[in-house]
Amino acid sequence: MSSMTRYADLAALVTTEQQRAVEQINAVCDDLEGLGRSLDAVASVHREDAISQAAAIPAPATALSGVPLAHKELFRRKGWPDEGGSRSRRGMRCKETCTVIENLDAAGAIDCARLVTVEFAFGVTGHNDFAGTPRNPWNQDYICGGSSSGSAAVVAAGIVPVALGSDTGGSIRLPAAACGLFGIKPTHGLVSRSRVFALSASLDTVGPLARSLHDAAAVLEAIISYDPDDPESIDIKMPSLTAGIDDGINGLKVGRMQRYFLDGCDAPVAKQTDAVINDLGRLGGSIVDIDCPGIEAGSPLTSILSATESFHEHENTILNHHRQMNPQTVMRILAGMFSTDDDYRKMLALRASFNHRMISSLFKEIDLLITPVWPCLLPDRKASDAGANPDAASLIQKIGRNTRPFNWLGLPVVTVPVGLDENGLPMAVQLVGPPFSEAMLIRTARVLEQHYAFWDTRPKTGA
Amino acid sequence: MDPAKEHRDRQLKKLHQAGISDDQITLAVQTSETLLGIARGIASENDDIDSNMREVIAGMAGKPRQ
Repeated sequence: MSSMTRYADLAALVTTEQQRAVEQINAVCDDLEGLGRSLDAVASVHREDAISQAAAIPAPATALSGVPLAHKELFRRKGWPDEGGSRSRRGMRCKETCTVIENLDAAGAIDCARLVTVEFAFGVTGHNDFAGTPRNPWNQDYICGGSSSGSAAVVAAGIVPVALGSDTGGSIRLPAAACGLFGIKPTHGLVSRSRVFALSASLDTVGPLARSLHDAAAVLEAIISYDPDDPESIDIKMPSLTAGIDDGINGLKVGRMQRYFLDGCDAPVAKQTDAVINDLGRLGGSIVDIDCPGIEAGSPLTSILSATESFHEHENTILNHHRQMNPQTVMRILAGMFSTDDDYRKMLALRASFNHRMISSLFKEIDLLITPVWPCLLPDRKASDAGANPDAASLIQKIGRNTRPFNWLGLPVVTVPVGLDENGLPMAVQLVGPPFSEAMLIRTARVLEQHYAFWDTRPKTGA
Repeated sequence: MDPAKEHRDRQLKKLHQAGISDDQITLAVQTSETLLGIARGIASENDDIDSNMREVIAGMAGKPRQ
């Protein structure tokens, strides 16, 4: 039964026929309950609700009609669990549905399940003592990265074609890269966060993880909308992200930044990234070596801003229920509790001036920048477990060094799988562009998707 | 009184009342001070980010399970 949908792309799953939709939902829910749970990646499956949705697929058919999806457990649907990956919230239920899920409903997608997150989405490795630590389908001894760990595992295993994740410091990009997926962190403000479980009000971003770039783009198109309920939502008309996907990259100036991004990574990662940039040069881009002094400051600034905002958001839970939380999560959030209102105002003011200066400087001579996502080869579950291994602390802080600066800058980023490392695990690069350049980044990623044909390479688990 | 010190004392009182351990409180204070110091330093464009980040590592990662 399950083989009828596994590794199908969006187009193969589109239907407005109720009977076929129900068959697909049952197959996906079977896989979520079986393979998905065996990977420790599934928080809850909602087969009956999904089948009810199938009875009301809107016509005419759209890119998502009848397509079974599942998302990170931060995406609220009324009546479904609202635990945020934390024992401290065990048994809580959502009182309302978030805007992005309403947008996917309106597009005809069928919502089947919620997938494991790192507790409060505050962690880069995927470890979670309560909800489970998802196993990487490429090799189950390795992590999926975090915090959208369950989303990455379930998509990489071929159970659903796309899943939503959230990204505050790298939480879409790190798991997507670790599991051989495309991940899109859109421009801050392009996708609503209204009624999504919040970590950091001014850094949280919502986007898709998918095996196929086209599928990621199609889901992103469906969730882009201005939402007055999100104070940082931006009302802007975006070009189609799928229509020009095959238009190529002739003339695009591709930036390579040796200092910080390549020099700060392990040798195999820097070598692979450099090879991708050179390939893009041969595929129609022109390579420009650049530097952007000070961009690395976005990493610690993201750390303090996210800690400050997460304490503000979750103060009551931390102070009253910290014994039911992972000690690592508690410490990450407590780091923000001593920021004063004045400190916070100054951080936001600094961000505005810093970003204006940095974005103008970065994209003065280039159209996009390419950097590694992970600065090291993917670590295994034991080496990266801060709860069991004191040496993991420095590794964990290092993991987000390439991703956090772009949260501070609010820029759109697309991760692209480009091959396998010496352990047979996926490697990836991230393409970074100026605000609202998603269509250009997707077009560039498409050139790499065709060149590396990573779609044809599948993990041991799931295929 | 200095508003920052007043805020800090208020937050410390909350942590003690919540039963957070002294070790965790010390680590939280250190991490917070280091990160805020980095932010202030960047604002003044006169800071050594890399050396200060090393101090943040232990605090943000938390302590191993007992």
